[in-house]
Amino acid sequence: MRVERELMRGAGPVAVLKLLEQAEMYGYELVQALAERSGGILAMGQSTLYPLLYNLEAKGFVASRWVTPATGRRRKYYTLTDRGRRRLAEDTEQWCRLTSAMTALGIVGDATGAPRGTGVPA
Amino acid sequence: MSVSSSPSRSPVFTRLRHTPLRDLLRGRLTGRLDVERAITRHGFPSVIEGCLRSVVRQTRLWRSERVDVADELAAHFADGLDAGVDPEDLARRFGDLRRVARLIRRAKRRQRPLPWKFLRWSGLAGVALFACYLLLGIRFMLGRPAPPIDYRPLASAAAAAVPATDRAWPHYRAALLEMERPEEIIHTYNRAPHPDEDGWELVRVYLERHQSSLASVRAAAARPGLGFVARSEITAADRALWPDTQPISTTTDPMDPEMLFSVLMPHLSELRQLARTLAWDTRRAAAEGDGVTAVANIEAIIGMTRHAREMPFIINDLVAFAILTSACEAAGDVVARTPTALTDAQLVNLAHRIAATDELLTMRLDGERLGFEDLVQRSYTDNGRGNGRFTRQGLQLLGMLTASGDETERVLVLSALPLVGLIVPDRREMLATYHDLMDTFEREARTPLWEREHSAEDTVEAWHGSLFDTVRYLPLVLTMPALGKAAVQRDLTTTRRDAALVGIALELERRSIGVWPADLADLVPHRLPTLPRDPFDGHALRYTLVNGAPRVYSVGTNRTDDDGVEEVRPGRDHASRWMTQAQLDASRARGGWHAPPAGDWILWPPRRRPLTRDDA
Repeated sequence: MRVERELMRGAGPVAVLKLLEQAEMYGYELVQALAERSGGILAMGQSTLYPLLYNLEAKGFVASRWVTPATGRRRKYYTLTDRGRRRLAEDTEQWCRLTSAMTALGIVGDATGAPRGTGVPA
Repeated sequence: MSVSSSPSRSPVFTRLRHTPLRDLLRGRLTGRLDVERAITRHGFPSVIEGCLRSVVRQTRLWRSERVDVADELAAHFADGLDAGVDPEDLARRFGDLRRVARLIRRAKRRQRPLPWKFLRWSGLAGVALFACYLLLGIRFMLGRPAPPIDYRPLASAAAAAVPATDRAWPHYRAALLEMERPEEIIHTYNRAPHPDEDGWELVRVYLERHQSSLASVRAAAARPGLGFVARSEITAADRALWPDTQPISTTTDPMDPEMLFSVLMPHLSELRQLARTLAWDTRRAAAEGDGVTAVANIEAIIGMTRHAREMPFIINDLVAFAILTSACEAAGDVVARTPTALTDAQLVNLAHRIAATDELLTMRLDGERLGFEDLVQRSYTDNGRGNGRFTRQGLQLLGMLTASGDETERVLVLSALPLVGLIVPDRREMLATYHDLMDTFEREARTPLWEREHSAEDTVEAWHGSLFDTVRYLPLVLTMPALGKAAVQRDLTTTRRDAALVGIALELERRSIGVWPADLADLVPHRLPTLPRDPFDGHALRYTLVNGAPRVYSVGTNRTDDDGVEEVRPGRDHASRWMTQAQLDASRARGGWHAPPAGDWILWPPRRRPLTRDDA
């Protein structure tokens, strides 16, 4: 299942920042990691990822550098900056609140992960 | 792992072409701006290569940015192919190429340096401003005034209403054509000599030669109306009088009627010269004991005052004031210097004629108002509800009226057109401002001079001090006459007239009691209904006897009674110059050359300027 573009617009940057918090990564690696670690929900097309990375870089949340290994392909690696780290903390906090609110409304599943309140009797 | 840049293997020329100047200056032939090499060097399948080329090309970024994007996307595709993804599938998953290119372009431009962003936004703002300015300019250029109404008949209505048989102008004209102009007198002396002065013979001979014409002038002055219908051109009948006067054209469209401001009034200067000549003849007649002719001349000059006011413009009033002044000064002069020429009855008759000039001492602004309305109708569009906007034709018209023909100025004016169109108030507001101002002028003109604490020109002067207001009220600033000064002129003429009446009353009283009265109050009420007021302080005109001779005077500019002593300093203003109290205080504070004229303003017997020969 793919997430709607508008939702992805809010979730994409924080997801990328979160991945980069753990390690320096290049574009294709990010695409793969997003798809795998979100169970395909946050699978991001290249058309979305690269402009997103450039925007994060323009805002100073990530930094990039070209790396050419002794053997292997030349790639551009992205890493989280201090500013990006602060932004990630803020975004995480907001997402947690949002999730709590959604949970309280019965839109997101409870602690057990079971979905609630479709209104249809079991 | 090591950080590196990839060397190029392209031919030297290609590498040279794609090497940034900075690298060349360092002696490096890097060729690192070669976008095509960045796309092709991986040997991708054609579908991937085409996809990559299309995206990079459509980003329309700087070359260095395109190489960067190409390198990164190439690495992405290479990783995808290495992971075993089908090239077609990989290209398809890349999405809509145009959209990708657009998003990349947008994101990449956000990374550009601050100076570039500043220049870009400045440029965009400049373009936007220019576009707005252009639109304003087009709007301004497209505005057209409605076909104008001819205001000239409205202003000439009184003249046109005079029946042909009652018109004085044809008789004045005939007399003027008969007479030689007194060029020799005018060019020999600074003023016409009086009968007791050297040079009088020149005047006497001239007057003697033209007695018949002067009789015609007196007859003309007795007619009910002047009947001079002012036009923008000289009529065939008047052409002989003013052969060189050219018509003034103020219209851009030959089908439009000429402006009211374009009407020619050369008859005013002719009337003024005829009045001067009659004043000379008054002194001649009195010196020769011919009281009848002297009084007839004064009556005729008063009649000419009425004729000069036939059109309702301020210039007509000003000329009328000047003509009336010559009548009053001539009367005052004759009564003071040759009193025996006039009988008691003639003096009383003269006093009654001079006293009956109140209606000639009013100021009318009707002509100015009509003229401005005419200007507005030719400068503004008309939306049919009494409003409209300023147009190019309006600005051209103002340029024409101010005779600004300089090419540089014209270019400046043209480039400023939209701005002017934006700043200048709309038709309704402009007319309202003008009429408010004229109403203020009229109120001020009704205030006695000694109570007038505001010069009527102050408002317009204040506009002159601000570039914005000058442009905003351009039609007003350029066409507003000096109404405040005209009102002062009216009041000073009234004082001269009153002084002549006091002089006649004093002479009659002297004849009656055998000596000059001790006080002007002795003349009231049997010689004068009331004592005239001094325009400078509101008290009665002053009177004194100096060595047994009477002297009527005003305290003058400095508003101080100097016992009837005048201060004569060559090149200085006469003590009849009026200032507000504030101006007077400022003038005193500055002192020296700027100090207000001292002494009193002697009104009767009238003072003469020293006679000098211009050829001396």
